[in-house]
Amino acid sequence: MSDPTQLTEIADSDAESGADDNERSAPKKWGIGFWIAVAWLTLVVALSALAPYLPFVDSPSEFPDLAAPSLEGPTADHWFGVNQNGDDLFSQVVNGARTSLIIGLSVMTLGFLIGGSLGLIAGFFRGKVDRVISAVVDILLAFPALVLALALIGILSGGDATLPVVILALSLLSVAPLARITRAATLSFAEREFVTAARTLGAKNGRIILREILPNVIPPMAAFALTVIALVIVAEGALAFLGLSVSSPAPTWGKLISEGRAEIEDHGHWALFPSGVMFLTILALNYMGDVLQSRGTVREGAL
Amino acid sequence: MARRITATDSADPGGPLLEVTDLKTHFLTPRGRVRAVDGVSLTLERGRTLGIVGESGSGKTVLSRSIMGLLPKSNVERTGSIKYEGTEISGYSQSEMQSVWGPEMAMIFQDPMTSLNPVMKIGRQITESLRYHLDMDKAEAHELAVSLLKSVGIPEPAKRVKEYPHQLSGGMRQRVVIAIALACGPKLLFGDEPTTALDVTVQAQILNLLDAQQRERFMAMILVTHDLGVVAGRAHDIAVMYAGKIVEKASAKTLFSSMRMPYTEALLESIPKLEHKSHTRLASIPGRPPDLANPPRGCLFAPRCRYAQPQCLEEEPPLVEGDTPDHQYRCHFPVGTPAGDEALARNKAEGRTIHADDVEVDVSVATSAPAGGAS
Amino acid sequence: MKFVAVRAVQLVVVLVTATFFVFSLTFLADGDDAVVDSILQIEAGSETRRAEVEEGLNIDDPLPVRYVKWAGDAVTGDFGRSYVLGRDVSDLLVEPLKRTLALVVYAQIIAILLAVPAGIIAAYRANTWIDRGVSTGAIGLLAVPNYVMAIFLVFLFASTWKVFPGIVDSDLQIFDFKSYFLPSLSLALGQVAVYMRLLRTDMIATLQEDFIGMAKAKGLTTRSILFRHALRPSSLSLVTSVGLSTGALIGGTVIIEQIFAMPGMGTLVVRAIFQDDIFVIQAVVAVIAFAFVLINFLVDLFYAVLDPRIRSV
Repeated sequence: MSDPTQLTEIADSDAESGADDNERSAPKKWGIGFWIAVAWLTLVVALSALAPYLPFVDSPSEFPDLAAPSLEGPTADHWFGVNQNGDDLFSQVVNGARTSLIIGLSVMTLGFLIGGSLGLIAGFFRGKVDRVISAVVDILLAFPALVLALALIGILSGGDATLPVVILALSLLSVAPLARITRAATLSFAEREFVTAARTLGAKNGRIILREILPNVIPPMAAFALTVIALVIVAEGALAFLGLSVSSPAPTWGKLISEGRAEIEDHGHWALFPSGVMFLTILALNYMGDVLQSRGTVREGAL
Repeated sequence: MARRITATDSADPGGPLLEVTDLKTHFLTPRGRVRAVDGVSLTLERGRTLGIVGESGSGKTVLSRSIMGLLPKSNVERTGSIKYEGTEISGYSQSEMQSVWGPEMAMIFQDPMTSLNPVMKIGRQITESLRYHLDMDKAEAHELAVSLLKSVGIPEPAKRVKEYPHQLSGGMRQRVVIAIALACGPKLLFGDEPTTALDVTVQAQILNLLDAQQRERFMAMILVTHDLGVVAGRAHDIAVMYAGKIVEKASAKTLFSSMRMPYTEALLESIPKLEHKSHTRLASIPGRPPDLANPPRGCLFAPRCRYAQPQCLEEEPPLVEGDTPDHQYRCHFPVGTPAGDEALARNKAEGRTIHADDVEVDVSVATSAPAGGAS
Repeated sequence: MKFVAVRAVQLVVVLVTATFFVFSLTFLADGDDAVVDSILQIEAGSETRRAEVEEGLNIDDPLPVRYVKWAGDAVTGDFGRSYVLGRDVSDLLVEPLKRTLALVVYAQIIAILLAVPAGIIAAYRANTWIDRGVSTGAIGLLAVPNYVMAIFLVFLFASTWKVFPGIVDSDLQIFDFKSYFLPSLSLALGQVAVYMRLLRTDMIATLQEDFIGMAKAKGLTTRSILFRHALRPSSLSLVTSVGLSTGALIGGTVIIEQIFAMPGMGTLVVRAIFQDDIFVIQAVVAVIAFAFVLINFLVDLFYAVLDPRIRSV
C-alpha cells in the first residue's frame, strides 16, 4: 500500500476541496526495464534490417549444405548451433526476424489505416455510423480471428501461402482492436475545448479530424500498436507452425520452432534459441506497450 | 472465535470507556510526512457523546479511523496511547482488532450510497457479523436482523432483508448502515459525517435516530462532522480540530456560550441560521488549512485568523485551561478576552482582516512549493 | 431482460456474418467452376458427375440464395458431404467438436482457478514484493506463445518426467483428464496472466470502496472480506474477458491439437484446408461460430447473477 495517491486519499478523505493534487503531474521515470526493452528491440530490428550486409549472417538457401556439420550445439562459429541441414541457426533466427517483423509491421500498418479510420469516423460522427462500425468491430474482436485467418488462407491459397495473403489474413487480428482504441480516444477528444473551438471557428469536419484529433489520437494508438505487433508475431508463428505461413526459403520463427520441436530431447538448441528470441521480443513489445499505455492520457471512460 | 473484552479484563472498570493520550498519526508520503493527527488527547465516558468538529482536511476523519485502528499499516505511523476500558489497544494486531470491531466499537460511514455492498442482500450484510461475532445460527441472526431494521425505522423489515441496497433510498440505506453498526451491540459508536451525504430533511431524522439508539443502549458516541450545527444539542462535549490538533475542547454548553478559539468562532459563523434572511451570504473562513506535510511555524490557524498578531506567526500557542474546568484551547489572543478584543481592534484599525486572502497566498505558495519542485 | 434480447440479436448477427463471409469467399476466391473442378479432381470422378456436383452446390443460384439454402441445411445439422473422405460432414464433426470444447472448458477452468487466488493476493498485497512477483510472472507468461508453452511442457512433463502423455490417443475421451492436462495447461497459462491482471486492477479499486472499510469495521476476517465482499463486485471484467477470450482460445486449440495430435476441430480444419475440403471448412467455421456465440450468451446471463443491479434494468 505504498501507492502515494492512496495515502493522500486517506489523508484528505474528508477533504473535498483538499490540497492540490500534485502527485498526478509528478513525472514517472521510464525505468530500467523499459530501456532494456528498447535496446533489445533496437538490436532485433537492426540485425534483421542489416542482415544481407552482415558477414556473420548467411542468407537463406533452399538447398542443404551437405558439407556442414549437422545438429551441432552452439559453437564459436555457430552461436546458436546448426540444424539438421547444417544451416547456421543464428542466421536463420535473424532471417526469421525479418519475416516476422515485415509481417508484424505490415499488419500493424493495415490495422492503423483501416482500423484507425473506422475508429476516427465512429468516434467523431457517432450516432448510426458509430453503432454500425462498433457492431462490426465487436464481432471481429470477439470471433476466433485465428480460425477465420486460417480459413481465409486455406481458401485463398490452400497450403501454399504468399506474403500478401498472410498479411491480409492476419490483418483480421489488428483492425478491430485498433478501431476500438481509436474510437475511444476520438470520443474523448471530440468533446474537448480545442475541438469545440475549431468548430465554432467554422472548421470543416475533415480538417478537425486531421488537424485537431488525429495528432492526439496517434499516441495511444502507437502504444497499443506495439501490443498488436506482438500479437501478430505470435499468430504468424502459429500459422508457420501449421505450415500455413509464407512458403519460401526464408525461415520464420514459428517454422524454426516447429522444425526444432522434433529434436527437442536430444538437440534442444534448435527449438530453444528461436523460442527464446521470440519470447524476449514479445516480452519487450508487451512491456513497452504497457508502459506507454499506462502513461497515455486516454483510456476508455477515463475522461 | 470472537474474543470479547469484558469489564473484568479491564484494569479499572470504573474508569472512562476510552482514553486517548497524545495520539499521532502520520502518513509517510513521497511529499514527506503528513501530520494528519498530531498529538490528540481525549477521554470519553460511557453513554456520552463527543462531537469532533473541523473543516475538510482537519484530520477528524483520520482521528476516528486511527482510534478504531482502521487505517492501513504500511506508510502510516501511529504513536500514543489508546485505552479502551482500561486496556491498551494501540498495539493490537489486525486479528486482535477483529474482535473489537463489531461488538465493542462500530462505525457509521459517511456515504450510504457507497458503504453498503451492492451485490449482497441487506439481510446478509447484517447477519454476517452477528453470526461471526455472536455465534448465532441462521434463524436467530435473521430474526435479530429484522428487529434491528425495525428499530432503525425501516418499514416492512421482513421484506427489506431480501432486497439489495440499490432498491433503497439514501436515507433508508443510512438506516441500514446504522443497523449494521448497532448489530453486535457496540459500546462505542463512531459516526463519520453520518448525515453529510443525505438530504437536509433526512439529516434530522437520522440524527434523532442515533440519539434515541444511543440513549436506549447507553452507548458512547463520537460524532465527526464539519458542521457545528449537527453536534449542537446532541453532543455532551465538543472538540474542535484544526490541522491535526485539537484547538478547543469544552462541554457543548461552555463552547457555545464562551468560545475562546477564533477558529471555533469562524466555524460557528459559517452555519446558516434561521434568523438570517434568505440569500444572506454566509461568512466563510478565508484561505485553506495548511499543508500538513509542511506546516508553517507558529499557530497553524494564524494565516487565516482575524485576531492574528506577529506573535502568532512565531510561537505555537499551547493547549491551556479555560475559566471553567474541562475547557481547553490553543490561542494567544482568545475570543472574548481583553487580549483578544485588543488584537481584533488593532487588526481592524490597520485594515488587516480584509487582507486575510493575502496571507493565504503565502500559505498556498508554501504548500505548493515542495510538490511543485518535484514535478 | 431487454439487454438479453439485444445481445441475442447481436450474437445471431455474428453467426450469420462469419458464416456468410467464409461461405461466399469459398466461391468468390476461385470462381464457381474452379470449385467444381477441384471437387471432381479430388473425387477423381468423371465429367458425368459435374451436373450432380453443381446441383449439390446450388451453383445456378445467386450467392445469397445459395447461402440461405446452405444455412437452412446447416441448421438441421446437414453440412453436406466431404468429397475427400466420402462421409457426411456432420458425422465428422461430432467427436472432434466434443474434444475441442472440452479442451477450451478445461483450459478456462484451470486459468480461472490459478488466476483468482493470484489476482486476489496481488491486489491485497498491492505494491509489495508479492504483488511485484506475481505481476512480473504474469507479464512473462503473457510473452510465451501457447505453442512454445506446449513444447516446453511436453519436454518437461512428458519427455523428462514422463508423468503426462505428450501425445494423446486417437480416440481421446473427454473425461480423460490425464491426457487433457498438458494441452489444457498450455492454453491456460497465457490466460492466467490476462485474468489475473484484470482481477488485480478491479480488486484494488474495490478494496478502496467504502463498503470494504465497512466490512472491515464489522470485524470480519480478511479472508471473508476478500472472498465474500470484494471478489464478486470485482469480477465483472474478468467474466467479460473469459467470454471474449473464448474466441482466442478456440483459435489456440488449432495449434495445440496439432502439437498433441489431438483429433479435434483444429486438426479437422487444418486437414481440410490442405485438402481443399471446402464443406468441412465451412462447417467448422459455422460450428465454432455457433459455440462461440452460445458461450458469450451464457456469459451475459452470468452478469445478472453477479450483479443484482443489472437484473432490475
